[in-house]
Amino acid sequence: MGKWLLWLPVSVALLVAGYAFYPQPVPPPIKVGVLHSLTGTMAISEKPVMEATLLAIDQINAAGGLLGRKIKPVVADGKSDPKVFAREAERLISEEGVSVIFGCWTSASRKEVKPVVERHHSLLFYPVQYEGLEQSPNIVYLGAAPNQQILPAVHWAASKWGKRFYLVGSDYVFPHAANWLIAKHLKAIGGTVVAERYLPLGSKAVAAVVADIKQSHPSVVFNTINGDSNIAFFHALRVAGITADTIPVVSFSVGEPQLAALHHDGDAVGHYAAWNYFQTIDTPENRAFVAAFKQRYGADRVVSDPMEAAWIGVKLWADAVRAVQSGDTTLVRQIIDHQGMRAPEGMVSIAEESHHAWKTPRIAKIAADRTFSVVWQQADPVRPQPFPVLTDKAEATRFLQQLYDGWGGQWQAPAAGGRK
Amino acid sequence: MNGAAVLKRARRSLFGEFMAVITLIVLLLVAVLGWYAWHAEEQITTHRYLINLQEIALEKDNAIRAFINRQIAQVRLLGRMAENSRALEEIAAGFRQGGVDAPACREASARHRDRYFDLLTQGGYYDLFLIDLDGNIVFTIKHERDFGTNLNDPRYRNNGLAKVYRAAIERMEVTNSAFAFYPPSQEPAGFVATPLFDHGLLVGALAIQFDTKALYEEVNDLIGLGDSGEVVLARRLDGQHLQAIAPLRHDPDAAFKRTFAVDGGLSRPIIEATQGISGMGVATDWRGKRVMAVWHYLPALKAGMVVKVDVDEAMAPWRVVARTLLGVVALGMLLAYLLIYRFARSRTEPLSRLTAASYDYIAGDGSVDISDVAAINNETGVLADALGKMLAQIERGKAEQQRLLDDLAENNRQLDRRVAEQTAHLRAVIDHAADGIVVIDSDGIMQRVNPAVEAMFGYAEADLLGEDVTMLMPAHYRADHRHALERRRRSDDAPLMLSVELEGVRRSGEEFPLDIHVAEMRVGGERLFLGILRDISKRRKLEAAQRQLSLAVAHAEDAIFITDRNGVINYVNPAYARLSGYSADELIGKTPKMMKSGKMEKAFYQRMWKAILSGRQWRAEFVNRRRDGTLYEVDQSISPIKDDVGQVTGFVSVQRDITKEKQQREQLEHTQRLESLGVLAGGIAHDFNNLLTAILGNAALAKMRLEPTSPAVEMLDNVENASERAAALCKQMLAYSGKGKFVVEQVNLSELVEEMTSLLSVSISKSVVMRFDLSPQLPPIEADVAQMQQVVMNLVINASEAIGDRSGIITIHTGAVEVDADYIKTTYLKEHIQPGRYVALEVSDTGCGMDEETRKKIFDPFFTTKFTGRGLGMSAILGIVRGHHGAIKLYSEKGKGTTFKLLFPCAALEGGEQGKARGEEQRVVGSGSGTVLVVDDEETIRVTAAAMLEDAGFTVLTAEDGAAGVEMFRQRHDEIRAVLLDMTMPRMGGEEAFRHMRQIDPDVKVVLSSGYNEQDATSHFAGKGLAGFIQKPYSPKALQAKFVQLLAE
Repeated sequence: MGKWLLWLPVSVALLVAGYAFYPQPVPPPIKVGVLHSLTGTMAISEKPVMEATLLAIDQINAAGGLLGRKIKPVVADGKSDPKVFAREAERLISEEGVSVIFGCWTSASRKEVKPVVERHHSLLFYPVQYEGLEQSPNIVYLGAAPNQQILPAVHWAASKWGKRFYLVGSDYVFPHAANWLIAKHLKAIGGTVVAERYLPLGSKAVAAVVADIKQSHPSVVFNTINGDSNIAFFHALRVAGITADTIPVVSFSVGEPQLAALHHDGDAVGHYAAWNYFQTIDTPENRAFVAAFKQRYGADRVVSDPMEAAWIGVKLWADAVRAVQSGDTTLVRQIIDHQGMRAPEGMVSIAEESHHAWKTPRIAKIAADRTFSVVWQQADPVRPQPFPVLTDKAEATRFLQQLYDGWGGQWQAPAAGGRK
Repeated sequence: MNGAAVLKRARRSLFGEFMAVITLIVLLLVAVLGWYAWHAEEQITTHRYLINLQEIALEKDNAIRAFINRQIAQVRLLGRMAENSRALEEIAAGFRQGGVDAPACREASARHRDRYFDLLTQGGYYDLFLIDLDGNIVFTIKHERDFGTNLNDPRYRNNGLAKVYRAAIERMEVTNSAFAFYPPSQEPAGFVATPLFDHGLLVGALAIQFDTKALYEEVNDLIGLGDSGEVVLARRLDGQHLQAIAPLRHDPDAAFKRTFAVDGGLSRPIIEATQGISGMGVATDWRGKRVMAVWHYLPALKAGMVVKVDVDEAMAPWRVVARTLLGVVALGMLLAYLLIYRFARSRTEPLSRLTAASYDYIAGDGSVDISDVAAINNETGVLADALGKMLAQIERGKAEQQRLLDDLAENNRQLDRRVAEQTAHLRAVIDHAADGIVVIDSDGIMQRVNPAVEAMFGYAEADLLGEDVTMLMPAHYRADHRHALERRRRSDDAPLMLSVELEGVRRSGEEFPLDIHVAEMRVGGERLFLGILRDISKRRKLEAAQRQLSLAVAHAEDAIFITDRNGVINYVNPAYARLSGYSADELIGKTPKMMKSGKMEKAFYQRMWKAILSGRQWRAEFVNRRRDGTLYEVDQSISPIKDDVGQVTGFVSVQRDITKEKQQREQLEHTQRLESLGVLAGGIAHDFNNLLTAILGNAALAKMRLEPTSPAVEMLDNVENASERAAALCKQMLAYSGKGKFVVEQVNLSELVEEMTSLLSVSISKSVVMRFDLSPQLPPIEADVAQMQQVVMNLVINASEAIGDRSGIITIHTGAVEVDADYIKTTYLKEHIQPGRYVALEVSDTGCGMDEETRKKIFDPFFTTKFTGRGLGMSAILGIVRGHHGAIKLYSEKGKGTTFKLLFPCAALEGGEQGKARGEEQRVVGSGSGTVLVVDDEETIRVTAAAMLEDAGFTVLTAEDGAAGVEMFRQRHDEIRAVLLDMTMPRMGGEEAFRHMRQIDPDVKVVLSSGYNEQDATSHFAGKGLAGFIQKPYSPKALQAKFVQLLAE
């Protein structure tokens, strides 16, 4: 009798305590997809963006993760091929079961991934400035819309140098669409497009274009060339004697990494670039961001607008997950419109109607030490307008469809193709 | 005192402790659980409320955005209407003619005014503007002060309208302005503008000013925010302040009037919201009240928004629940306490009663009734029952106890009697004990002594009892004794038991040895020490005597052993063990027969046994055998040991080792024999020489007198030949006796042998080959050349004879050797030489060799192995070597050959070069002057010494003995500067001659010369002013140097 009185309550108490303090199973990590070209012509541009994405993920994990769970990035290679992007996006969502994808660079790849994420009601965070004319409930656009980069630059350049614009770009959807808008804009303010020229992606055959520029002598050149062609382009310009004093060039796809890859003998010095973010921006947030990136990847590395946008994307997504206390894609999509943060470039907020971000347009001059020095910036973040006033959804859709059809059912000129 | 009173006086009661512990446990449990539940519930409720509030905030956010977006969408639509562009162009054209008041402008405005008025009311706008490309506001509905102004004018550049206008013109975008106070309207205003195009060409902008009230209505729709909730919209005014841009529930006039300080510590949510940070939580609002808040940044208004509700209100439902919970817990605790009280009381009260009853029983109340307690059915009841039975047993026990006590008393009486008897018994034993018995207490005070102690120490019992026992001890033991007692007092070890031998002190002061047995006793808790003392002074004396005796035997130099009557050894001393080579263990139990050498006859032993068994002492020299088989001789005396009745019980043998003594004696005899032979030979040879001189002289004279043809000539030739051989023999005898006086010089032995080569060759058998191994770098020795030649010749001839007619080799080797003491021991004449550097002359042959017997006698005079030999050759060599302070070593093996090795001391290196022709280097010509007297009985010495000194430049006088010398000195002492005096001379020795010369001239310089060494020679002249000493034989240089130095002083 006496023994029971002692050990029965003791065992019951121990059992209950054991149950109460039995360690909870560690929650599984939240899987996110990171989809960029790690091979092919775009790899040189996209790898740093992937690194910025992974940096943000690491920072969140280092600070304890999200909702007590770790974030596990699943990295996929788009191989610079839009079709591969689509396949990999499909695989990430349906096989890996990721909650969200951070990725894409070219509009061509984005436009292939768009139907995939829409079909699966998933979410893509897209980090690069683009031509606009697009909107999706399943894509968060963190790069600049036309009215946040290109159109302010048109006004700025026109009032500074005059209204004869020479347009040169790579032969795929973004430069075509951007130039289409620039042309409309110029027309509205009484300017003229001196010429509109396209180079195949990766092409070094810039001589003809440069000769044409020299011959036509425009007020300004608007450059939407992407990738390595810029190296040849700027070198040929300087060799041809075209400097920023004679014919200034404003570039829309030349960021810090591209600057580093230019020839070292002063190519591009004095010319201009339009972005929302430059590494040289002096804010506490930017200093911390640049330091973290350099600490992780090396002091000689640089950061660019798309990298910053990619980093912001992860942070905003994490805020949204925290706000809804869930990694569920549908819930996150509902609240992502209300997210905002003090980013390295300044205040960034997602606009609810378009899933684009409020961003600050900036123009910078390329200094001799191959850094950007900001010469103009908008006072406040600008409301994103994917469909500019000068066009409407129907017209834009028609225009894009024509491009798509003209290229034989893809978003960039066929490899052998030159001009459209 | 009864039991109840005792219980009352107890400071603590079982019941009280029970209550305290249980109450404490309950309170602690309730407090911890309550605290935890309270906080958990509060947190959960807060969290839930905030999630709820977030929903409301998002809706509010959406509503405000929707309002703005609606305005933008409408204006965008207006921008696409061609009539608006047309209207602007018409009005602007008029404006260009003279501003807003130009008739063309007025007219155009009037044309479009109605349509725009309709638009204004339909859209719910406050005002509508048309602005041309130059920034002129060419058309408004309200015609406020802004009408007709230019937006590029610095005064207006920064207002909302100008901003949206520029966005439209420059970026072609339709956007809204931030919400700000607009001076022309005298109230807050927001604008939206769109660019206007005419056929794709930009012509200007259309702007609307939207209705502030509509926005404020959206903001102040407080559904879901209860009674205290409010929405705060604020923008950054400057770095330090925020400004409300909409009315607040708690301050309706707040818009553009109320500011919030950023560093005021309040309003964290709105501060963060304007910085772009979203969040939720509990914070303090601008009124200082605790609120639950959710906050966001609104990019469209460039403002922060906070949706909040006072904590008081938000948590009100929870507070009600919490209070109720508190009440229930309190009541539950009360109930629990009462139940515990009741329970504890009912369980402890019977215990109290039992306790009281026990006390009552002790106090003598035998009639204790606890039957009602015993009826309880648990441990208390059992206890009560047991107590009852125990009390009954105690009652029964009391009677039994009394009976036992009576029995015990009787037993005690009997015991007392027996103890008394025993005590008397013991007392008698103690009193009659031969040993002293002392009992002391732990302080050392004597409690009891017996008569033996009185007798032993000379005190009466009364003198001892109560005194400290140390009085019986010598002073130097007392401190130790006290310390030992002290230690025992403090120790809890097993009782002490020890036996020691110490000294005691009698009353007379005499110290005597005591054998003491001490035993520690515990008697009735008291610690006592019993000492039993025995006077052992007699025993000690006996022991000392015995020890002395055995030590004497053990340390005796003589070997001693003791046997029993049968000769079985039972003691040997160390000296005997040393002598015999057996250890004591090996010898004891054996008989001395084991030492028998067999050298003595049986009869010897029989005589011995007969003598000693009859009780006589026997003394004789024994030859015994050691353990290692060698023999030794002893002078042994065997004495019988007799018991009290004269019976022989054993024997003691005392032996002295006389082996060495005997050997020495034999050696001495041999030496003496040789010496006497030498004296004899020397004497004979001396006289014979004289005789031979006469014989030869006369033979020569006789021959001269004879005709050469006389037949006697041949006979005389024979006489001469025989005489010359006899003279040669004499010379050898003289050499052996050491009497052959010789003259030393520095001799190189290698050169000497080399010069003799041809001579040696003809002296040996033809079948023998000579080999020379002569060291070219040989140090010189001091030697007589003629004698050295004689030595070499003798050795070679002997070697040749040892080889005989067979073929063989004789090798002559010279060399320098270092000789040490060990080596010297293996040589002949070893007693004459010292360790050092020597020149060796070695003559080896391959002849017949010598046996042990021959080797022993080889140097004895007249010993020969040759049929024709005279036995003097080797003894002559020995004599010569001795005369040169050298030594001889002999190696020989029968049948193999013999080697003689002669060692001569190296000459002291006194100047001059070695290896020069003999004699040449020793001259010191002309370095001395004056007259020297040479006194020596030996003419050769006299002549030689004179020649040496004359060479050195001295004038020399000579005298043939001591008397002649003294006489010569007496006559010519003025002229004589120094005297060379021989020590032993026939008429007046050197000693006496010196004395006489001193009488003539006390300052005479006398150099003594002698064949003895200096110490022996000069000991007779100690303290007598001898000027110097020179030992014979001497070299010319030594002599010259002595005198040159002496006379130069």
